[in-house]
Amino acid sequence: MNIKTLAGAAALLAAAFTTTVSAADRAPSDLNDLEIAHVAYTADNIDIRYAHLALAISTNPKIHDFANTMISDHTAVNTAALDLLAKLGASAQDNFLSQKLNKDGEALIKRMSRMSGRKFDRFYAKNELGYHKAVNDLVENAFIPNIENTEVKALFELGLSIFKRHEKHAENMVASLK
Amino acid sequence: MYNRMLANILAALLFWAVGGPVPPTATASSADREPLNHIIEIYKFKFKAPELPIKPGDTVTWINRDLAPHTATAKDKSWTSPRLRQGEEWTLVITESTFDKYFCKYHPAMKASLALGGSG
Repeated sequence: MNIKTLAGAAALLAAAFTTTVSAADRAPSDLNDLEIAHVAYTADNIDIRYAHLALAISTNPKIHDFANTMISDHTAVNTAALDLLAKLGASAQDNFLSQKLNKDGEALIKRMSRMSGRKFDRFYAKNELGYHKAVNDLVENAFIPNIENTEVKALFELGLSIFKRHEKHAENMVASLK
Repeated sequence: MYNRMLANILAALLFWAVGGPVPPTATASSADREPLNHIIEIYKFKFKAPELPIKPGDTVTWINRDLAPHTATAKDKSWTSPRLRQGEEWTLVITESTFDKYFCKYHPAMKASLALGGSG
């Protein structure tokens, strides 16, 4: 895996968050609160799945530490989101962006499953950096400004503060694997 | 010169006699105070410093106020809390041999010290 391919993978991933799906003619900023909640829940779950894959494939303690942090933090945020939805008497709504994320995530998991050793570690680290950058950008610029419910907005702001730390952590991990 | 020295000594004696700084023996006795329980809150990815110095025999209770789960884990791994979810707490009894530098194993940038013996 060369740098160019890695950069391509990250760009492909980022595109999943920014592309307007012409068939539905909707952009991420068009989603309602319950659809936004579904996207966030889906994005969390995908990262948890990446982390479990990393724990199964990698033998690098730094990768394991990072993966355990992703499982712990994203699970906590998703639990808080489900608790809030239950309190509000609402359910998250599936939508085009959640479906695209799941489809792309599935393909990436299949691809990473065929890797091992240092190649896997570097790909996983770089992907985590690109993934968190893309999600954080989406949450900060497309979701938070458009969320109407104040409690949902507060949870997203809290989540963003956690995910920005993940981005920094991923940056350090990428640098240490060069 | 001699008179000046004598005046200084007399002034010092008078200072102690009327209640100047606490003598060293009194400082030693404050170390023998009753054991305390110190609360260290974890908030916004920081370990809040305890208000009073921690001594052997005291207990320290960490309370996680963050949404993200944290741990308090000795740098030398000699002690660790379990994964503390929001609102959960864990208590450690401090002994002479307690290793004082610690971190969160989920967020290694979170570091702190119990500053036992004023070591910082």
